[in-house]
Amino acid sequence: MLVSCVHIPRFAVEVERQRRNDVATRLILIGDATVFDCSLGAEASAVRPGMRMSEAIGLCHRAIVLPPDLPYYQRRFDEVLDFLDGYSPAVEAGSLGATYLSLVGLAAEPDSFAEGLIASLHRQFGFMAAVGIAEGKFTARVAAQTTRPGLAKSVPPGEEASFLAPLSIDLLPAGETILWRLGLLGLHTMGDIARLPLGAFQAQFGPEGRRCWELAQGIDSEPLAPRVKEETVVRRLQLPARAVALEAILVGVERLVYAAYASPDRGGRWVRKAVVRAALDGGGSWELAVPFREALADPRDAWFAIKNAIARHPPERPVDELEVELMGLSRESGKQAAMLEGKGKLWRQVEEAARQLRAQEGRTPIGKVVEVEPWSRIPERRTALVEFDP
Amino acid sequence: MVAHPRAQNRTSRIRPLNRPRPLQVEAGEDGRPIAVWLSSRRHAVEAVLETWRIDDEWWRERSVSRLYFSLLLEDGRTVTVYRDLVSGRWWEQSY
Repeated sequence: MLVSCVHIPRFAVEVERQRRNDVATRLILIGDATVFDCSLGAEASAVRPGMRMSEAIGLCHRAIVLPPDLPYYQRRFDEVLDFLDGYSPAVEAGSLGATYLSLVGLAAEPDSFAEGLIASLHRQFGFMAAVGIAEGKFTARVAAQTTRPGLAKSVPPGEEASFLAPLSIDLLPAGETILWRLGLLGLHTMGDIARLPLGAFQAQFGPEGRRCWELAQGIDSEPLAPRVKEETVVRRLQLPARAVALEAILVGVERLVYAAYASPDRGGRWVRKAVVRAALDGGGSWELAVPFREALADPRDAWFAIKNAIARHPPERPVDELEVELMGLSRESGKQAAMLEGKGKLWRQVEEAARQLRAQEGRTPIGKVVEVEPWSRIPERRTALVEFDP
Repeated sequence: MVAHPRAQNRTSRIRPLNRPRPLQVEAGEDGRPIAVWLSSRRHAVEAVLETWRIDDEWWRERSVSRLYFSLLLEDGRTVTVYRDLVSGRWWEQSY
């Protein structure tokens, strides 16, 4: 399946540069205790996402440090995803700044498609993306990550392994421990891994190792998981004056909850989740998701749950603007029916069946599979069947 | 004092999954399988796809030392077998 990966490098930094003129030409570190994202100049000083902030400041002392505003980055990323929906019927959101598009049935040549996409994204949002095209998500992503922003890289079918061979194992989606062990064994490129026999590699590194070996060979059967665009009801309120007290914030949110429930867009449907957002004084945002235990049709029930949630996790700073979004709209009331954790009808039936069987047989012939030592090289140590005991 | 809510755990209630199954194997002089017996039928080995060795739990009384073979059979099936290097017996087990 031909896939295109659209990668906007340093997405959070680019978003902050667009939002704040005062940091347009500064070195930027975004994060709190650890670095979430950093500008190209900071990367040149050996700063990397995930690094401790104190260490990063030591390496790049002229940089300005910004607190991460994840809700705002996500909203900007959602705008990009909405835009890309116009280019492909199947769009999957990867990590922040990375998107996969299915190119199956595309009329245009992939290369000209990619160039058009890069130009449109720049025109529309000011983001400079790199695009990778390949038969598989991993190779497409690596192609995009290793290509300069503004350019496209296409890997012809059958040439995935040779394209990946000289590239660093750091591009593999593997844990730090496995990468460290690979380094100790002198395996630094994907070609080093691809040359090894699968059996020996898997015996050493387990199922995660097998996945790495396959990816290094350019074998990637992971399907595209297109995002489902959800219908929601949103209401916003610009506060007449900055709200400092929690009571004032609650009054604003209450108005929004009732207004959203009264909206014709809801169409009498039940609501499974609400998200409350606030634009904070001095920049930054606050977001609180409130999933309901069951779908709610009455705004009073929803408000009760939302009010309690806000009281537990209030905004840390004064608020300028509020927003409430109702999600998971459904025609029927829904009850959570998790197989083994919930208390739904199915669960009660399973419990009852187990009790009856135990009364008849003296034991429960129902088992539950549990992971024991999933990392073990000895297959029978990895999982076990435990008697189901409700 | 709160009563124990459930029955006591018994080790007999835990059964490991993917346990090896004994298998009849014909091996060549070099120790590599040339035929396996599945469902009372002999299946010639078309090719040995992979081979790897596991040595583990050497600190236990019964250490684990196995030589695994991933085999392609004449009918196109693949099976994974291993020779227990301690007992010399053959087993089938998916890896």
